[in-house]
Amino acid sequence: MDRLLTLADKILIPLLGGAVITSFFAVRTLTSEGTTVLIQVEGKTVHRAHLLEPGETVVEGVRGEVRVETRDGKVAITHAECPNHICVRTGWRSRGGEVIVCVPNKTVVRIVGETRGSVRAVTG
Amino acid sequence: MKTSLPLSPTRRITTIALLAAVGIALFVIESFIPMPFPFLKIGLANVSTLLALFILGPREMLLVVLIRVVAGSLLVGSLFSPAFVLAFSAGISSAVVMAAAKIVTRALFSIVGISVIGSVAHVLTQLLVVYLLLVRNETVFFLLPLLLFSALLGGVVVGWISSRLIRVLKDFTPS
Repeated sequence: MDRLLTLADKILIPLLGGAVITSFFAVRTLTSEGTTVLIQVEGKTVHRAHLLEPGETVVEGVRGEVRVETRDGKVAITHAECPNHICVRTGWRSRGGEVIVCVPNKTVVRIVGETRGSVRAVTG
Repeated sequence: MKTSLPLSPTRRITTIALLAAVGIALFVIESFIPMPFPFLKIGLANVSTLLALFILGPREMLLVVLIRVVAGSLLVGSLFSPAFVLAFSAGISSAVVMAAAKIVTRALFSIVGISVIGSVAHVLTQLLVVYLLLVRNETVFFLLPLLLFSALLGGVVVGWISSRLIRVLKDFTPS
């Protein structure tokens, strides 16, 4: 044991570091299968929907009505009473953790993943 | 300056006992360190495992691990609990892997490298055991990045501590 780290170590440790990073991104793409949609106005959840259940929900935002549609495992704001319609232009979202925001209406459509819940169950 | 001490049976047994005791002490002490998740450990007790491997040999190291895991679990009160099964299987498996790595690759890896190999083996065994015996849910593998990272970090830290200690003990070790 003359040196602290041998050549083999200097290959092994960065290799494992790479494995950590790879597994991190692998997990990230796998946990994006969220299925619950929360529609929140001014921070309060006013409606829950499911990505897998097709339907349309109309909620009352700050400025007017906001129409949210779920279809084919995706969700989008289809109509809103706001000046720029950025929320409508955001389009369809389907991954856990994603949000569609209508700022003038202070309305947020949030996708919550259920896979995250099971990880919590394991770690106690 | 290096004195070569013969490895008499007495010396062998007392060194095993000493290292096992050190391992137990480190294990118990580490159990008091709070961690966000219970399975995130630095694995300080493996300092004694590594010392056993590099001062004595693979057979002695396995003995040290065996004693340490059983007596340590007894002391922290987890004997015969799922935590014990986990610690036992992961500890033995990581020890076996470390011994095999050292025997097969000879001087290719330093103590730090062997320590990292052991900690990664430990963590992977833990995941496998949890999946196969405890929670039959594939989502446990989502913990892999976090576990791997802590294993890498812990392995390097433990390896570093061990290599510094070995340097001091080199004058007293046989061969």
